[in-house]
Amino acid sequence: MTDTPPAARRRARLGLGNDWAMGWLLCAPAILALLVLRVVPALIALVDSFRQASFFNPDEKIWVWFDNYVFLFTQSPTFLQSMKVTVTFVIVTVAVQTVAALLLALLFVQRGWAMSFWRTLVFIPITIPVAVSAVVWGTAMRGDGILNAALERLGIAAQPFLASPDQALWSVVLTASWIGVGYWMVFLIAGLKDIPEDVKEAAAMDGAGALRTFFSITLPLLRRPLAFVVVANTVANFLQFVPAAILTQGGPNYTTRFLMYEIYTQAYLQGDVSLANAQIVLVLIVMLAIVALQFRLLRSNT
Amino acid sequence: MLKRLVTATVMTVATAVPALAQQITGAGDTGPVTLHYVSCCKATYFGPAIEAWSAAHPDIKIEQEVIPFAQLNDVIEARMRSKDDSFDMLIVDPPRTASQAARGFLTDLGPILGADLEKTTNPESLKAVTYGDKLYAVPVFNSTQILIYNPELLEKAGVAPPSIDPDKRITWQALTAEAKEIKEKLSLDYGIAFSQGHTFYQLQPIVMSAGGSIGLEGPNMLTPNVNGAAWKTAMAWYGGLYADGLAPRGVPFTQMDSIFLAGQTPFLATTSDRVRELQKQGKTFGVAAFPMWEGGTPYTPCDSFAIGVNPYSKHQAQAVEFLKWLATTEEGGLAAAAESPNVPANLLVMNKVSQAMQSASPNLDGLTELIEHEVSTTCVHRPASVGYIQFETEFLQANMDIINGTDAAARLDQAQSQLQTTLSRIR
Repeated sequence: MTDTPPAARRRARLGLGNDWAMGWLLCAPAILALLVLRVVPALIALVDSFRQASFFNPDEKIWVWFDNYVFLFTQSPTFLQSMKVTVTFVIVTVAVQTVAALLLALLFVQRGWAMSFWRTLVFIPITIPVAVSAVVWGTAMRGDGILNAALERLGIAAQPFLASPDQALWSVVLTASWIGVGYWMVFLIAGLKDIPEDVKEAAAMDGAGALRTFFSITLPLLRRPLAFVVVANTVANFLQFVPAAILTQGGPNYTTRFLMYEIYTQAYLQGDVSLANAQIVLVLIVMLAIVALQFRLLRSNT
Repeated sequence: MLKRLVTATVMTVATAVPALAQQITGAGDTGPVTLHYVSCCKATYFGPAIEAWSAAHPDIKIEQEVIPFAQLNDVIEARMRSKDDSFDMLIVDPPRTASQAARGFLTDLGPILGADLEKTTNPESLKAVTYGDKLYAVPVFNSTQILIYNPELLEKAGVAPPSIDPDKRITWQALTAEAKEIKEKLSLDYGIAFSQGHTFYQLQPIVMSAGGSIGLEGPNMLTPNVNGAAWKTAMAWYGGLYADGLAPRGVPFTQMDSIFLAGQTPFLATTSDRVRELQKQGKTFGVAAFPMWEGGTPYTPCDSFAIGVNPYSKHQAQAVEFLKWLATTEEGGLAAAAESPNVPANLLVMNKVSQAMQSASPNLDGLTELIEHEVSTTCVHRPASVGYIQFETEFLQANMDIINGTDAAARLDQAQSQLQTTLSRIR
């Protein structure tokens, strides 16, 4: 047996050894990318949200502290509306997508004819770029589009869809759900397949019917993947940008002015980067709260 | 030999204007240079000019990067704000000149090109790219609006074609009545379409003809005025066209040409560039002067793309050489007009291009005179304000809402209030 130096012995006792250095080395690119691409821009946005850049000389910035935030909540003609629109959209879309994904997952774990084929069909929309899906749906929902042609064939009057303040948001919910349902379904199928068969068999032997098994066995054991789907879906929909940019440009009457589109408009169309930074910080706070909730939900189930 | 010629030319320019020579980059460079040009819309707009230039100037090559118009402003904003020096020239939409120049996104070209351009370029086009008495871009194209009609449909409905004579132009009110009559008689889908009906470019002359203001006023052109009586009257009339089914609602404006070509509407209010596009399609059509408001003053929009020089470019002198050739020589002007459907801003070739358009189709007699009259007499520029981009963004939203059925008066009041708040941030 050879003598080992005290530092090496301490590392070995802590279970670090050479693996410790290798671990850091392997994680370094990811940590570096995280710092450069996420943390640093977030800090820049935070600092710049307390300043206002001169419109005429963007390099000249004056400290205005909370003025940008006060402006957003008291004077901005569109910020509160975009918050309202985004929250409504998130609540409805997450509910619709999660329920639809769960029902489809329950259907596709059953044995049946060509189940893999049907499952693939539902998943296909997620393989199409969101921008392409939005363009296709935008064309279908035009005044002279295929959806209205179908409705008229059925004797139903043509609908304005994206052109109507009453229908535009729901038309975007439909588009987003068509894209997203297949993706979230895959997580729930994996969760359903993780439920041990013997638990279901025991329930069946105790005389539990399909509904009772679903509510007493399947749903409680599916809590963890369901929590992930709900939280991740909430974040994804909160950051929704493409449908507003391609289908509606935030209209009509600001009914589809999602927060990310509002930020984009401020930064790139209005040229008001300071205000956009303040909005980004507010979005970050909401996102962090949602992620914290996700960790709490996942931890409570371990 | 050519290299020496180019160098000598650049050096001559630099010597003639010593103060500017110190500011302009690339003066005196002798090596081959590749200029990067951020362009827009279609590669063919500037493709022939770039090819012709490159053939004659192998030491100054030009690479074109084409960006769709819808993304142009965002891309330019992002790249100029980061002081991107990877491109040398950028396409300039004239009404955005003030906003871009005020923020140092464009190089002042007046001292080096101003005198030459005054001799060969449409003065109205030069005015559109001038801000604070400084010239920030070289106008390449110009535009005006016309009314295109389908002669077969008009004849079938027994309606006389509107006049191409600007002094006998039809009114919007008379046109609306005729469009309705033709639509009903022939059971057409629509009566009139506007090819850029979502933009301020096309709506501004209608609103102003009805007596409305230019939209932005005051000493710094940062005071909105979009909810006066004339604005409300004109925009209510415009929204009414869509509410009555006379104009196509819910159809993208890029599809309006197709609607006209398919015979779904007898009238298409559009830019003069559509003449060459429709000629390519082999469609029989007639051209009339852009309508005016009943009892109002006739106005037409004008201006089209210009080219500016990136203040961070390392090859400004070479970019200036190209622009000078494009705007002050007949060869450059014709090369620019070769594939572009727009009217050239270069006066050496403007009427030649209009005459070629006129003679390429039957019943277009008077087109050359009409274009010449409109770009010099009824042309109204969009507001030369540093807040134009914000104004245009808000107008677009409000206009789309009105098209989709929102009450025009209420929406314009809202737009006025929102513009006041948004423009108050410019300081």
